[in-house]
Amino acid sequence: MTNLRAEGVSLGYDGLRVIEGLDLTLPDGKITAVVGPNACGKSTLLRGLARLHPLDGGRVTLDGADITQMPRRELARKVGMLPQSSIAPDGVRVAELVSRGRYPHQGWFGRHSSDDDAVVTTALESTGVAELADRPVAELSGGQRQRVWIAMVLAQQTDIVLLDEPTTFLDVRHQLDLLDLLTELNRDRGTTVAMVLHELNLAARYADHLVVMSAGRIVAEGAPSDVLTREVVDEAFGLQAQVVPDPVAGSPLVVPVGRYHSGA
Amino acid sequence: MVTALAALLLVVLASLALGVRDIAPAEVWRALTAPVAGFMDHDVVLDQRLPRTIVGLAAGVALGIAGTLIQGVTRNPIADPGLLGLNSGASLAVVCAVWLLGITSPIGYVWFAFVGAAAAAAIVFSVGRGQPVRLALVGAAVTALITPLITLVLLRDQQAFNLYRFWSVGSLTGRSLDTVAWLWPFIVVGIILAAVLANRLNILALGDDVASALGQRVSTTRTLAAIAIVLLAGTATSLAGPIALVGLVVPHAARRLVGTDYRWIMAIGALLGPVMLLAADVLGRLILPRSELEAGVVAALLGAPVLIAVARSRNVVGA
Repeated sequence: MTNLRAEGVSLGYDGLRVIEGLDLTLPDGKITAVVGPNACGKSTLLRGLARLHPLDGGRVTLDGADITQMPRRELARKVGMLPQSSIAPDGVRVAELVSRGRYPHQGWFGRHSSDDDAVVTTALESTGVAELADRPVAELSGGQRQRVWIAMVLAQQTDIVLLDEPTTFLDVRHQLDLLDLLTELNRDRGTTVAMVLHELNLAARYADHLVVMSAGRIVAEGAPSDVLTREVVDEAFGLQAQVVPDPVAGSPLVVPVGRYHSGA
Repeated sequence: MVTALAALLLVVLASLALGVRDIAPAEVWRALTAPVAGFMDHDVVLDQRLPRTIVGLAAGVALGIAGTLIQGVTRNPIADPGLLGLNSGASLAVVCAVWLLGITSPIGYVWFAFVGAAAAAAIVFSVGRGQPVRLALVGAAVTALITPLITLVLLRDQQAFNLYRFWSVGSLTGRSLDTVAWLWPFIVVGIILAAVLANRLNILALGDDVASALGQRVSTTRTLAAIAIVLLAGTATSLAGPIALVGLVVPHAARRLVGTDYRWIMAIGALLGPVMLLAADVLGRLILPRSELEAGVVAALLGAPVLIAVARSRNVVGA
């Protein structure tokens, strides 16, 4: 079991602070969702946790050790990250892309072992893209493509997987599909999952631990049913809303009010 | 791989056997195995065709690999080594060597060409901080800055102008084997770096963030690639002048043959580079009766249609 935490981290761009002195511990073996309005720093925080963004202050630790002190490859064997800016090279095939997730486990020339093949096959199967293995990634639908990227991160075989808005550009069915897939990974493998999500209600339904951010700080965190209240939604998003129980899952369901539908 | 090797063997043989002067294949063989001193046919093979074949091999391998590296590291399918300002840097250094120091032999200015190429690339790379778009902009700016300086020297110095006319088109003739003997270590180091970098480029192709998340130090990859490109393309430019399009076309052709794995693209590119350059050189000897076209001219004539064909084909395979 591995434990990733941010200790008083500050992050920013070109001297402009986005996050100041933030603390966060990702609960081990759980699904954490980070939500918040645009530009609240949620993606930046995730990037800081994955060492994709330099810290201006504080530190990020993995089992107590500062992640900037360990070789990148070693970190990549423990923490996987699917950023928003992934590029599928033209013409690359599904199995080939997924097998590149083995990189941190391989030597200089990327020679494949039979062990690598087995891991890649498992990753393809558990994401349901095994039958697409020989297809060019460019020919796939958005939902299939996102599964392929998840398969690549799985092939990395890390205990912690971070995902930056993995459901963006997916229709609602494929969003659910993807979140179900991540739930299975979490349950079957005990993988710690942390993701930035836009859709509040799906975050509340799928997360064990919900982190609500606003203007670079954490407004509230904890179990979704404790965290997602009218007051918190108003504070974080500046949004009038009713919060009712989700009739399907029982998790909090945020129903925004808006200016023209004040309701009964 | 086998086809590319066979093609390379073929152009090497053609480069030794074909030319303005008709020499029977058997005589070519005798020239290589049991040369008779003073016999014109043997002298032509040994003193002219053999050196230009070896120069073509060395420069071709270097350009094929350097082109693959620059396209891979910038994820820019229209990048070529000239993007780093190598050619303009080398050109300026050569005309200055002629103008200020009166150096007129290829052996003399080969080092100037190399230093000029390296200096320009160092400036472009450090200001561009290795980022694809920035590199392209800075490369264009440096080239735009250097070009009028070259013109300035050419307008003032007739000797530099005469020499530059031939150097700037790119040619394999008039180079002695000494230059290759001096420069081959650069090519070998470049090839070793490229071999190590090939798999890193596969990961970098997924984006800087994904590459970092997979444990790659992206800045290290970019720096090593820049060093390899300067060693390889700088050497090629020193040997053969600024040869257009080989570094640009070869990676595209290689991708068509072997797909997206840079380990294969690099290997095939290393073979296709000399195939293209030597084929251009041999064709240049045969196109005109009793005279020759420079390899650089023919390479551009050959490369442009290939590039258009690649662009027109439905599924362009990008870097």
